[in-house]
Amino acid sequence: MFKKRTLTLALIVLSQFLVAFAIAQNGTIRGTIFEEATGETLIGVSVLVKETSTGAVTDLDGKFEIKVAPGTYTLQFSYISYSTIELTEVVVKDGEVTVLPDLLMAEEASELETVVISSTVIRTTEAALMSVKRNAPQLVDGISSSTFKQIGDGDAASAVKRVTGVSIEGGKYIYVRGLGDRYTKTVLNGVDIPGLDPDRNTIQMDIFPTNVIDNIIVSKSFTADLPADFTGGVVDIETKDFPEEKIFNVGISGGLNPSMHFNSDYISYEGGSTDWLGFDDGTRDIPTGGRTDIPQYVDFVSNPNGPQGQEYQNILGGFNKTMGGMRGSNLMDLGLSFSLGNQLVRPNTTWGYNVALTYKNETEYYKDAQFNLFGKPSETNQFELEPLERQRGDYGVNNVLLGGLAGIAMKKGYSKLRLNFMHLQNGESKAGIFNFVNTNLGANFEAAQYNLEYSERSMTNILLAGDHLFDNGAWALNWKVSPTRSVINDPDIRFSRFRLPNNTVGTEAGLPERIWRFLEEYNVSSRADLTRELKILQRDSKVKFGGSYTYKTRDFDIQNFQFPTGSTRFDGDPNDIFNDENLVQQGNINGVRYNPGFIPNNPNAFSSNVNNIGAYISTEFNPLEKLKAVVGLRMENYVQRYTGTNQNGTIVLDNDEVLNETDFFPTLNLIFALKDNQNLRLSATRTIARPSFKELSYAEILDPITGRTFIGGLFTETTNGGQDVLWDGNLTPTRINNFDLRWEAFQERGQMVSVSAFYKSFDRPIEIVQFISDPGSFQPRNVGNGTVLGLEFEFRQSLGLIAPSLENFSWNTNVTITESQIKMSESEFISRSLAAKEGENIKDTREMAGQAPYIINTGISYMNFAKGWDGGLFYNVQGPTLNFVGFRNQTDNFTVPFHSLNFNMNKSFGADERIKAGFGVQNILNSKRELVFKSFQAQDQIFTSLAPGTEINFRVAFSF
Amino acid sequence: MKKLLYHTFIFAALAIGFTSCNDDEDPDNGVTITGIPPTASIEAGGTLGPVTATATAPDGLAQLVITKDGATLATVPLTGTTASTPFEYTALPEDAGKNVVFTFTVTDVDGDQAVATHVLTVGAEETVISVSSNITSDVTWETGKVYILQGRISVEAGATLTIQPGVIVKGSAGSGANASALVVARDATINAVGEANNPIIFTSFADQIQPGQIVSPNLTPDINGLWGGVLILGNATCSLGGDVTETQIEGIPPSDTNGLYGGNDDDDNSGMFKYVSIRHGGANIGEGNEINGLTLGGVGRGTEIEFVEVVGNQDDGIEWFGGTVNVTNAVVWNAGDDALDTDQAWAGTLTNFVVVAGSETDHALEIDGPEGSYLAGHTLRNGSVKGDGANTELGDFRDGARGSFDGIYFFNFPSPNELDDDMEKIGRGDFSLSGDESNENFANGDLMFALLETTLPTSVATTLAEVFKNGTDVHASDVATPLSGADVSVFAGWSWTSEAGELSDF
Repeated sequence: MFKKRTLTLALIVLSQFLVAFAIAQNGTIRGTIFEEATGETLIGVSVLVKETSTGAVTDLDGKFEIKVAPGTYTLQFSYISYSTIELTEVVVKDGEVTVLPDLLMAEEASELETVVISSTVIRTTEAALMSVKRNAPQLVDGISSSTFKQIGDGDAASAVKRVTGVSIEGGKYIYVRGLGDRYTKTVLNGVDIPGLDPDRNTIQMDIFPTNVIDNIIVSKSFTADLPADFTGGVVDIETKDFPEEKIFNVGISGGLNPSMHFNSDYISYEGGSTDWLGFDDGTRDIPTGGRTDIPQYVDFVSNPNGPQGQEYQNILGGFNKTMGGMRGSNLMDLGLSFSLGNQLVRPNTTWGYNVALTYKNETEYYKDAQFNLFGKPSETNQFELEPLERQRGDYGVNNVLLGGLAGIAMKKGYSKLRLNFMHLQNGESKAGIFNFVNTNLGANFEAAQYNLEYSERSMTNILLAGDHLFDNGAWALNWKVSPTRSVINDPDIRFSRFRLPNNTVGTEAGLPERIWRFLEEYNVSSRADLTRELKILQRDSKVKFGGSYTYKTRDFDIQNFQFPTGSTRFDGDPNDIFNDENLVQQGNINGVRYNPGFIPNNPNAFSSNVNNIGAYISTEFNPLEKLKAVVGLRMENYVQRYTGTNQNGTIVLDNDEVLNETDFFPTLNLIFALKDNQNLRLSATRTIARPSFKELSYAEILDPITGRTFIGGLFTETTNGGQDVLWDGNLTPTRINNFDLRWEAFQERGQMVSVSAFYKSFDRPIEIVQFISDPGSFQPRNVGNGTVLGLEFEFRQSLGLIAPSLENFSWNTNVTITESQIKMSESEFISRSLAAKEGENIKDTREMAGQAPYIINTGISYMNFAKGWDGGLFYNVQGPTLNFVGFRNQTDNFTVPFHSLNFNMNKSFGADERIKAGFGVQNILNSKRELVFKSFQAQDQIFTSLAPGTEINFRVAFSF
Repeated sequence: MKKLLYHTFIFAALAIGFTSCNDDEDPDNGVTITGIPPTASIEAGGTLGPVTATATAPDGLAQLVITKDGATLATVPLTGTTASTPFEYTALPEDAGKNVVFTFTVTDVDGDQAVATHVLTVGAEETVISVSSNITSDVTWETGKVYILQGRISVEAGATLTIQPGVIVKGSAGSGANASALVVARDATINAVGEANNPIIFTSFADQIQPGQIVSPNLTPDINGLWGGVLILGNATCSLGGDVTETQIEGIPPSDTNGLYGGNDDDDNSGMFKYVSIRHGGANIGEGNEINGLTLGGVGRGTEIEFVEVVGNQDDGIEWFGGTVNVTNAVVWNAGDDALDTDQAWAGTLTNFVVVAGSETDHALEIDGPEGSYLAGHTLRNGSVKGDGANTELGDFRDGARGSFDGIYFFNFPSPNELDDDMEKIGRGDFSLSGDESNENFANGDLMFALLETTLPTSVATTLAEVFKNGTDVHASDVATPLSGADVSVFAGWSWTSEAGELSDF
C-alpha cells in the first residue's frame, strides 16, 4: 500500500461512530494532521472531499471539520512540499461524526506524489504517543487515555506504572527510574501543582480518575522549557481538552475482593453524614475551634467550677466519644463515571466543552496486618534480630473519591483559548484493632490498641491557557495561568491502648491521643513560551524562549491532645474513655483530662512560601542532515521564606529568607537519525533538587503514630561535648548532572525497541539522617556525593512474527536496572560502625534511599477490533528498595518485591459499539505488600505486612 | 542575702546659665524648683528616674538639699541662676511596701528657699519570681520565695543554681515538649540543700502551697502530670546502644543540647540535692518519652543526693540512666508508672528507700540491664516497698539486669493467683526475671539477691515461689515482721509521705 518507504504512515486513534441526538441532514468528518518528521500538527493543510469538491483547511491544532451528506468518500490532503495523501473509504453517516485516524504527512523533496490509503479503521492505542515519542526533543514516555481503557486502570496511579521506568509506591506516589520522591516532579497541564502530602514532593496519583485525563507524559531528560527541579523525570498529567467528537458516556464499575468485601469482620467507625462524599461534615471538628488560648488542667484543678474550669469542661465534653471501631459487614467497591463533551462549530469560531464526573467508593480490609519493630541485640556476636514492638491486627479502610472536571475551549482563527476547572475530593477513613506486644528496652507489656483515622484531601485547580500563532505560523505563543488550592486535613486521628491483662491506661503503654493536622496550600503557576520557526543552515529550526513564575504558600499546623486518665478504671472498651462520668469534673478531679501539646509553643506549625522565577532559551536545529540538536539554557531564581519557631520558642523566624539562589541549567540533547526509523539520542543536562518547606526550618514535628520526630534541617548537631560538628545546619540544594544515551527503533503499527543508559551525579544529596544522640529523631542533611547508573530496555512486539494467527497479540516489556551509591553522613557512618556485628564490614557508602534496583513491566496484550475484544495479562515488579535507613540497633528496612499480575479483558457490544464491558482480576498471585528489616547474617523480619488479596473488577460503559 | 541592691543615686550638678550681677541693688528675688513629680510608683528594688530637678534663683543659687523620710540624703552645691540636677533612686530592701517621702529644698544666696516634695510608692517585695530563660550565670533562689518555671529551664554548663531551704519551685502549665522542667545540664551545678524541717519543694503552678508548708492545701497526692520534673545530667559513663558515649535524655527534643548526658568522668560532680520533694510532675511527650520525677542521667559519684521524695508523678518516680551517683534516703509515693527505674548500667548504690505504690503504679522496681557493651550493675540496699493491694508488681529484672539487691521488704501486694472475670490468673504482684540474659546473670552471680522478705497475701493461697519467680525465692522469705527494710524515721519532718501518715505501717 505504501508507494515508498519514506512515506511511512501511521493511522491512529479511535474513531467511534456516535449518534448525535440532534437531527442533522449531514454527517461530519473530523481529523488531525501531523507532520511525520516532528510529530507536530500541521497548520494550513488543505483537505478536499473529492466527490463533492467541498473542503477545509486545518486550524492551529492541525484539525479540520467538513460537513457532507451521508456516503462514502475519498479525502485528499495536500500541503506545499509534502506528499499528498488520499484516504479512501471514508464512511459518513447521517447525523454522525466520523473521526479520522491521525494522519502523518511527510515532506517530499524529489517529486510530488500521492499516497493512497484506505480508511480501514486501525484503532491502535499508543501509536500517536509513539510518534510524539519518536520525534520529541527530549526523552519521553507516556500513556494515553485509550490505554487506560485497555488496561482497565481506574486511576492515574495504577495506569502510569505501565510506563517504562515508572513505579508507584504505596499505590500513590510515582517514582521515575526508581529515583525517590525527592527526584520526581509532578505537574498538571505543564505547570506546578501543590502536593497533597506535606512530606512529599510529588502528588498522590491515585486521586486523578482516568476519565479526566487525556494523557500522562513522563519526560526523563531535561529541556530548558521544563522546571529545573527534576532529576528522575517530570510527570505531566494533561487533562482533557477539545473533544474530537460528541462524547456522552456513563460508566459503572465494581470490584469484589473475596478476602475484603462482604466480610462481617470488616472494621469501621461512626463518621459524619457526608463521609460517602469524601469530606467530613464537622463531626470530626476540633472542639476548641483551633484556639490556642484554652485553659489547661493546671488552671482547672484548683477551681473546677470557675470560669476556666467551666470552659475546660466544655471543651473536654466536646471531644467525640468514639475511640474504637466496630466490626460489621462491608460492601464491594463501586465506581460511577460520567463524561460529556462536544465540539460546536460556528462560523469563525469553534467551541469545545468537556464535563467529567467520577465517583468511587472502595473498601479495603486487611486481616492480620503487621507493623513491627525489630532491633539488633547489643552483643556483637549475636546476629538474629530481636522483636522490640509487634503490632498485629485487622484494619478497614474506606476510600471515597469524588472528582469533577469542566472545561471549555475556543478556537478562532489562529488563536485558541482554554478554561478548565477541576475539583478533586478524597476522604479516607481507617479503623484498626490491634494486639500490641512491647519488648523494647525499659518496657515489657502486651496491650490492645485501637486506631481511628480520617484524612480528607481536596484540590481545586483552574487552568486558563492560550495558544496563538502569528505571522502565518512563524511565531507561536503559548501561555498558561493556573491557580490551585489544595487542602489536606487529618481531623481527629484517635489512638488508645489498654495494657493487658488489667486494661490499664498509662504512660508506659501510651496515653490516649487525638491529633488534628491541617495543611493548606495556594499555588499560582504561570508560564509563557514563544516559538519562532526559522531556517538555520537552510534547515527547519526552532528557537523557543519564555519565562515562568510560580508562587506557593503553605500553612501547616498540628494540634495534638493527650488524655491522662488519672484514677479512672476501664474494662477495655475504648468507647468508654470519654464517657461523661469519666471526665474530670468537680468530685472527679483525677479523671480523664486533656493536655494540649501545642501550647504555648508549637514547633509543629509553620507557614512558608516560595517565589520561583524562570527564564529560558532553547534552539532546536539540525547541524547535520541526520542530526538534530536541542541546546538550551534555563535560569531560575528561587526564594523560600519560612515562618515558625523551634520547640522552646528561642528561635523565631518570621517570613525570613531561608533560601535565595539563582542557578543556570544548561541542556544539550542530540538526536541522530541512524535510519528513518532509528534514533540515537544523547543528552547532558544540569538539574536541581531543593529542600522542601519543612526541611529548611527549625520545625520539630513529632509523628505520634511512629514516635519519630522530624527535626528541621537548620539545627546543628555536635558530639563529644560540642567538639565535633556532625551537621552544621547549612542545608543546600543538590545540583545534579544527568547523562542519557538511548538507541531506539520504531517499526510499523506501534512496534518499537529501545535501549537506554543513564548516569547521574549528585552533589551532596539530601538524605534523612538520624540524630546520633537521639535515634528517634531524623533530620534532612546534605550527605556525601552520590551517583546513579542505570539501564533501560523496552520493546513492543507483535506476536504475528511467530505465527500470523497471533497477529492480534503483542508483547510489551520494559525493564529498568539501576545501581546507586551515596557517601554516608558522618553520623550515620559512626552509628553503623558502633553497631556493627562481629565480622561485619561497614563501608562509608550505601545505596540511595528510595532507589529501586530494578523495575520490570511486561505483558501480553490482545486486540481484535473486528470482534470488539481487547485486553491483556500484565506483570509488574520493583526490586527490593531501601525504605528507612537504619540507626543504632535498628537496621535498614527494604520493600519486598511485590509480584503484581493482573488480567483485563474488554468487549464492545452492539452495532455502534455503544456498550463496553470489562472484566479484570487484580493481584492474581495473591502477593503481600511487605517491608522487612535486614541485618548482617540475620533472618529478615517483618516491618509491615499487608495482604491486599485478589480482586475481581468489572465495568460497563454506555455511550449515547 | 548579699546581692541586694545598694542604693545608688547619681547626681551631677550642671551649673548653667551664669548671669552676672550688676551693682544695681535689685529687690530680693525668690527661688523656684521644678521637674520633680509629686508622686511615682516603683516595684520593690526598682529604680526611680532619673528625673531632673531644675532650680532657678535670679539672685544666685546656693545649694540643693535632698531628704528621704526627713533624713538628709544629699547636699548639692549650686551656682549660677539656673541649674539642673538629675536624680535617680533605687529602692532599698527596707523600702519595700512603703511610701518614701523625698523633699528637695533649694536655697539661694540670700537664704530664700523653695521645697518640692515627692512621694515614692515602693511595691511590696516580690516573693513570686518568674523564671523564663535559661540560667547561664550563677543564681541563688532565696528562702521564703516562690519561683515559677515558665517552661523548660536549663542550668547551662558553667553556671551554678543555688536553691536555699524552703524555696518552692512551681512548674507552669504545659504538656508534652512544652512541659516546664528544671534541667541541670552537664557541667552545670545545682546546690539545692534544704533542711530536715524546711525542704525545698518542686510542684505545679496549680499547687497553692506556701513557703513553710509541706502538705499541699489543695492538691491530692495522686494528681500527676501537671508539669515536667527535675533532670540532673552529668558526664559519667553510661552503657548506651551502639556504644555511643553520650545521648539525649528522654523528654527533651534533640535540638536542645542541654539534654545531652553521658561521658567518661565517673567522679563528675553535679552538685548537691538534699531534702527535696518533687510533686505532681511527669508530663508525657510520647510513648517511652516522658519526664520522670527525678531523672538522673549519667550523674557522677561526686554528686551528693540524699533525702529526696517524689509524689504523684505521671511516669516513673526516680529513674537512673547510667552514671555512678549514690542516693540515700529516697521515698517515692504514687508513681504513675514505675517507682524506681534503672537503665544503661547505673553503677551506684541506693540506700534506705521507701516505695508507697498508688493505684496507677506499675513496678515498684524496674531494673534494666546495660544497652551497650559496657557492663556494670548497681546496688539497692535496705528498702521497704508497699504495694497498692491490687495492681502493682514487686519488681522486674530485664534485659540482662545486673547488680545486688539486699534487704528489701515487700508488703500489701496482690497475689499473682488472683483471678479475673474470665477465671484466668491476673498475674500481678510478682518479682520476676525477664529474658535469658537476666536469668543467666542470676545464674552466674552478676545479678544477686539477699534477704528479700515479704508478707504473703492471704486472699488467695500463694506460695513464695509464685511471688518470687525464676528461682529468686531461694533468697526470699515470708515473714510477719521483717528483719530488713528501710529506716523510715529519716523521712519525718520534711516529706509529704511521712506527714500524710503513709509511713505509719512501715
